[in-house]
Amino acid sequence: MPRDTADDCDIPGAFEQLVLLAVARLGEGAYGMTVRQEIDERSGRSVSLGAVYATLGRLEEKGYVSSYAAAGGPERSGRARRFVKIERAGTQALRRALDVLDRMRLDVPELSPAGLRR
Amino acid sequence: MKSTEPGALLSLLVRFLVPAERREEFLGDLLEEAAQRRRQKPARAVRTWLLGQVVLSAPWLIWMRVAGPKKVATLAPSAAPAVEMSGEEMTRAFSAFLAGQRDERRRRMPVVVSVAVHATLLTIAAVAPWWNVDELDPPPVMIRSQIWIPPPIPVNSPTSGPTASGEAGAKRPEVKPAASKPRPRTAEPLPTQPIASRPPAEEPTPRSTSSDGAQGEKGLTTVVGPNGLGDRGTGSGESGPPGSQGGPGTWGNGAPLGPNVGEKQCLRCPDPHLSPAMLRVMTRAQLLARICVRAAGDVLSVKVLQSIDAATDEGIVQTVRTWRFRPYFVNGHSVPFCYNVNFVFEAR
Repeated sequence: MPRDTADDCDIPGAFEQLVLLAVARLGEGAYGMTVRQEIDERSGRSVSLGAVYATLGRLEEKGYVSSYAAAGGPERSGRARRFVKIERAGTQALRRALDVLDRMRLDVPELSPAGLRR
Repeated sequence: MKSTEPGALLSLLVRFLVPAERREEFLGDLLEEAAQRRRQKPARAVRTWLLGQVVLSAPWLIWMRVAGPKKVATLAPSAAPAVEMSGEEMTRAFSAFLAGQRDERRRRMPVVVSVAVHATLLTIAAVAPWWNVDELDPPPVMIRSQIWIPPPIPVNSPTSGPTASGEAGAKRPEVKPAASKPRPRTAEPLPTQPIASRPPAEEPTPRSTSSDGAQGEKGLTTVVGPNGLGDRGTGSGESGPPGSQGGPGTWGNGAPLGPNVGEKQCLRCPDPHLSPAMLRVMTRAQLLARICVRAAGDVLSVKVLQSIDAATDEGIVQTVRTWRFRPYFVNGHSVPFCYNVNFVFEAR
C-alpha cells in the first residue's frame, strides 16, 4: 500500500530529486518518456525507462507525486500513458533536500554560492 | 519468421519484466521515444537502443514486480483505464515498429538512388565535353613534301667562299643582287610531291649552289639541288662561309652532286603532324623550312622560311629536329649540308 504522506524529515535521494525536478519542470506534460528525456538532456545522465518507472512508483508511494492514466495520442498509436504531477509534499520534500544541501555547503568556500554566507 | 524475431524477443523481455498493468504504458513510452530517435539515427542504432532500454530497465522492473503491483491512480474521470497487453499484442507492436523502420528505409531508398543517379548524370554531362574535345577523330590529311627550288646561280660566281674554313660568318661576303636574289617564294608555284612517292634519284642535273638561306650556319655547305636536297659541298665538310653564295667549284671540285641528297641520306625522318585543333580548321597549310644537317647526320638547325603559325611551326620544327641522316661523304669526308623542304598539309 502506498503511504499517504512521507515523513517530514524524509529527504529524497539524489535520483529521486532529479526525477522530482524533472516532473516539476515538465508540469502537465510529465510522463515516463518525457521525464527520462528531461533527465537525460539536463543532467547528461543516461537513465533507463525502468529506473524512471521504479522511482516514480516510489515517489508516488511517498505521496510526492500523483499519476493518472490517459489515452495516448497518434504519436504512440493510442497507447495509454501515465501522466505524473508533483504534489505539495513532493515540492516540500524537494525544497527540504535543497535546503539541506545549502546548509551543508555553507562555509565551504569551494562550494558556497555568492550571497549564501552566514 | 526472421523479421519478427527481434519483436518477439523484445516482447518476451517486456512480458517477463513489466507488470501486466504497466505494459501498455511502458511499451507506449518506449516506442514513442524510439520513433523520435528513428528520425535522427539509423535503424540499427534505434534497434540497439530499444533492446538496451529493456535490458537496463530489467533490474528496476524486477524490483517493481517483487514489490508488488502498483495501483494506477486515476485523477481524471475521463482518463482511459489501464489495459493489460498480451504477449501477442506486444509482439505485434514491436514487429510493426521494426517493420516500419524497414519500410521507412525502403521509402528513403528510391530518393537516395534517384539523387545519386541524377548527380552522376549531371557530373558526366558537365565533364564529358571537356575530355571529348581531343578524342574526336581529326579529318584525314594528306601530307606532301615540296621542295623549293632556288633560282639558278651563275656557275662561276666570283664571290664564292674559297675555302672550307668553318670560320666564315665573321665576314659576310657581298651578295650580288642578280645572283643572290631568290625568287619570291609565294609567286612561284611549288611542285608538289607526296612523301610516299618521292622520286628516285633520277633527277635532272642538280644545280649546285650555296643558298643564301644558309643564314649563317657556321661551317655548313649549302647546296640546293633541284629538289632542295643537299648537294655536294666542298668535300671537306668545312666549306663555305655561312650565307656565302659561292657557286659550284668555288668550294669544291665542281663536280655535280647527286640529286635528292637530303632524302636519300635520310635514315629516320618521321612526318610532322598538325595538332587536332589545327586539322579541324584548316584545309591546306604550308610550311617551308630550311634544314641544316651536321656532318655526323643529325640536324643542326631548322629555320622556318614560310610559317603556318607559331604553335604549328614549333611542332613541325620539333619533329624535324629528330630527323637523322646518313653522313654525306664527299671525297671520303663527311660534309654537312642544308636543304629546303616544303611541307604541305592538305585535307583529303
